[in-house]
Amino acid sequence: MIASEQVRILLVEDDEVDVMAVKRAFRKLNIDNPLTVACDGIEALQILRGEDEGTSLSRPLIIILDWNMPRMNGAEFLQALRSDAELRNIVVFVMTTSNDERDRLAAYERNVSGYIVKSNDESEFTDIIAMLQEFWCRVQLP
Amino acid sequence: MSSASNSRAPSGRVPRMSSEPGLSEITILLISPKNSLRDQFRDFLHRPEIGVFRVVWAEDIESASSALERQNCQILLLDIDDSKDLSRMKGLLKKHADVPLIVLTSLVEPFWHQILLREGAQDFLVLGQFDAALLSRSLSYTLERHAALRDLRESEGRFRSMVERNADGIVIVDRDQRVQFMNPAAESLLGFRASELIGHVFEVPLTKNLSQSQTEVTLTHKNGGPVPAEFRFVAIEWEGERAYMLSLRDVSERREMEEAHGRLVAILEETSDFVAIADLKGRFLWVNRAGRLLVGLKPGEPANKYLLKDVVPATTFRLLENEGLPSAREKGIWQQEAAVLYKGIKEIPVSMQIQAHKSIDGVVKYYSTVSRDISERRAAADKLENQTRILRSILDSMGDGVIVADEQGTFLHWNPEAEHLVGAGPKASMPSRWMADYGLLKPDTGKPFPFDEMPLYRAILGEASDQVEMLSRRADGEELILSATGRALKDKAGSLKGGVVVFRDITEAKLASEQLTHYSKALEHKNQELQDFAYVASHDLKAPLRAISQISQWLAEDLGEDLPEESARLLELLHSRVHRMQGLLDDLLRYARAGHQDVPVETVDTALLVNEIADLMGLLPQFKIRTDDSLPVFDTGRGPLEQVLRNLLGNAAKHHDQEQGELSVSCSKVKNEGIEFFNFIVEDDGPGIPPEFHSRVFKMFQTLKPRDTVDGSGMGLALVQKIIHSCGGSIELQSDGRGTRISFTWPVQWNPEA
Repeated sequence: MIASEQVRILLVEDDEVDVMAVKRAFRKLNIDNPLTVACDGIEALQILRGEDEGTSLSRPLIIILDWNMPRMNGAEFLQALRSDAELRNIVVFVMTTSNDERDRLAAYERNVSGYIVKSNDESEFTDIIAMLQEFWCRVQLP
Repeated sequence: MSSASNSRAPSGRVPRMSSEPGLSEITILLISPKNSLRDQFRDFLHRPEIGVFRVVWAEDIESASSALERQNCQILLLDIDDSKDLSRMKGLLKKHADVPLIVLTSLVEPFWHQILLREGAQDFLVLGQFDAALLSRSLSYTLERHAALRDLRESEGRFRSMVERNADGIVIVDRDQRVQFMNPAAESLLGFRASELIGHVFEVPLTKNLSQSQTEVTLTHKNGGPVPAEFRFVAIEWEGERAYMLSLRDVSERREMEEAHGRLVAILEETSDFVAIADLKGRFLWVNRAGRLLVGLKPGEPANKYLLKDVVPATTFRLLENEGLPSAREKGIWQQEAAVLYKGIKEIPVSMQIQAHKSIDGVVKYYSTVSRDISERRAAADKLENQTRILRSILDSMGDGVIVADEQGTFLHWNPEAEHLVGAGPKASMPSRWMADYGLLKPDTGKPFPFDEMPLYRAILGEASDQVEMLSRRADGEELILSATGRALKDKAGSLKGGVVVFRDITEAKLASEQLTHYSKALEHKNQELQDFAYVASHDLKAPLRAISQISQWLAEDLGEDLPEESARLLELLHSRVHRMQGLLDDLLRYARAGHQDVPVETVDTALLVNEIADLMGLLPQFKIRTDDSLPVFDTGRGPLEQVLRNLLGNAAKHHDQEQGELSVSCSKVKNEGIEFFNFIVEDDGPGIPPEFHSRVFKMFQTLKPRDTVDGSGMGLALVQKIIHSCGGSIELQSDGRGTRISFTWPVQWNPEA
């Protein structure tokens, strides 16, 4: 597999434990796709626009987005992303603890590819990450 | 008919002899071919005992006729012996009817003499049997008789002309009632010409009794119409026969007048007004039925027994004497309220009218009076006055201000409260001045209140207005907020008679209401805050919990075999408590949200719903689920109802203490305060709930068992109750010994605002 063709993952998540959970799941599943972490919407946008010196992300790319975050939450981030001509077509999955219908509808209105409620159960969470891996490996991304 | 009767035909001719001639001037025409007879007569007629006559002579009847045309003769002497000459004698008499004739004959038979007299001779003398004295007597007699006959004829002529010109219809009938004669008045009365009726029987009753007096008959006109006529008759002699002269007077006009009079009298008789006619002395001439009843007149008793002063009280009589009668005499009529006496005792108030009736020359002949009983009207007026007084006292004691105005805007009534609230009494001002005169302002802007928006002004225009708020700035400086309601006043026929406004001081109520609005807004705000808090808190609490849970798992994973058994158990405990807290937070979140969601309305088959819930919750096959036909299919908020049923069924299953159980759901329709509800009943055959805990089960975080025995947040029933209350229903629990029965009502019409 050529490195440049490997799907990059941008995880937008403010909770360190949740970041750890993803990383542990990657490790468990032997996923070696490059994982970038942004602590909120603002930082994520900076990374995506190459405004952050240290990091730059090339396509193919998917975003795993937490919903409730400080500074710029998931809804606001999606709003900004979808209004940006360069970024509007990026595939986004929302992964959140919120089971609120209003949140779910708000996310899909902003064209997310999936709205996933985080499970407390370790193995169930690993299954979710496995499903996502399956997705990015098989689906042709923009 | 004899020729003699013809000669007596009525005529208007003037007799030829205008004055009675003396005998000496009498000319006799002697008609005889015999010279001897002529000589004999000349001798006779020159005798002094007979008188002086002039005699002319004619040989026969023909020459006599021409002689008569030449000169006046007063008497004819005709010598006739032969019956053959009779017809010529008749011809002569016919031609010269006004000249009497004496026959000279030589025949002595009485038979012949009778013939002669019958045929028109006045007398006869037998030749050779009369002397000068007899001749003289005969001549005198003949002349006398002739004069008498002439007089009679003239009188007949006058009679006839009188009859002809009579305005009454005159019909002469013979003894068989055949018409002999009709005058023009009779012709026009009956429409027949005389010639059409002569000889026909004229059908009228001719009895002796009737001849005494006149009677009325109804004759038939030629055109078939009735002709009322006054009829009388007298027996007369007509052309020598017994006959009857009928006199007919057309009374149709008079009868019409009589009928009209009768009708008027009948009307006056039947009217309930007291009608009477009195002479100038006040004595009654006529009183109608109502009047007779009033006065107490017995049937048949004459009205003139009473005087005006007998039937009115003294006060009225004085009024009449001093004012009524003089005024009627002067102006013709007088009218005023007065009184009459019923049977001389009881005073009855009347509207009395007196009229003076004058003759053509202006002299008052008598009075008439029409008096109408107004005691009922009086009583009604008294009653009305009473009611008005009551209404007024009600108005005056009312706590609301009431102002009444007529359709012009002129004030009819202000009650004391109105004066108090407005701070002034009624002023004579136009509606357009009201706001200025009474300091009425718009409560929101403080600007003058436009008069055309004022409830009272709108009311007098026929429009209703409700609870219009006005600011009253009274003269004493105090400001009140008034709430005014205006209504039009209409009479029975529905036409506008003005308007009424009722108003009250709502200053305090308004303040209280504003306060209430303020509180309720604040409350709403707090509620929202609480909800937000519950949402955020539960969400934000969940994240660290999850982290704790995960970290504890990772610890166990990473340490693996190295983890002491005791530590592993502690980690497990930690994990389970985290799990319980997550359940609590989920329920708290649901509770906070209950009743605050826009729920889509769907058609729900409740029996199917119950079975789906049982299936999804894995209640089968441990529990038998019983549903029946009573469970409705209806449009409602599916989510909330599902939540309620799921909680109730879940509770029943969770707390069941046996291997097998039965859960049943049924429904009936009930009505509460006019709103229809379904009353659902969820029953189980579990252990039941002791009565002392019934009041606690609906409270938050209440569980009746240790958490470790039955997993539950203790919020299930609180959530159910909140959902049910938020849609207007109620919930009840019954449990006595084993089994729990929970009934809840759910609106038939889904109304999320309830």
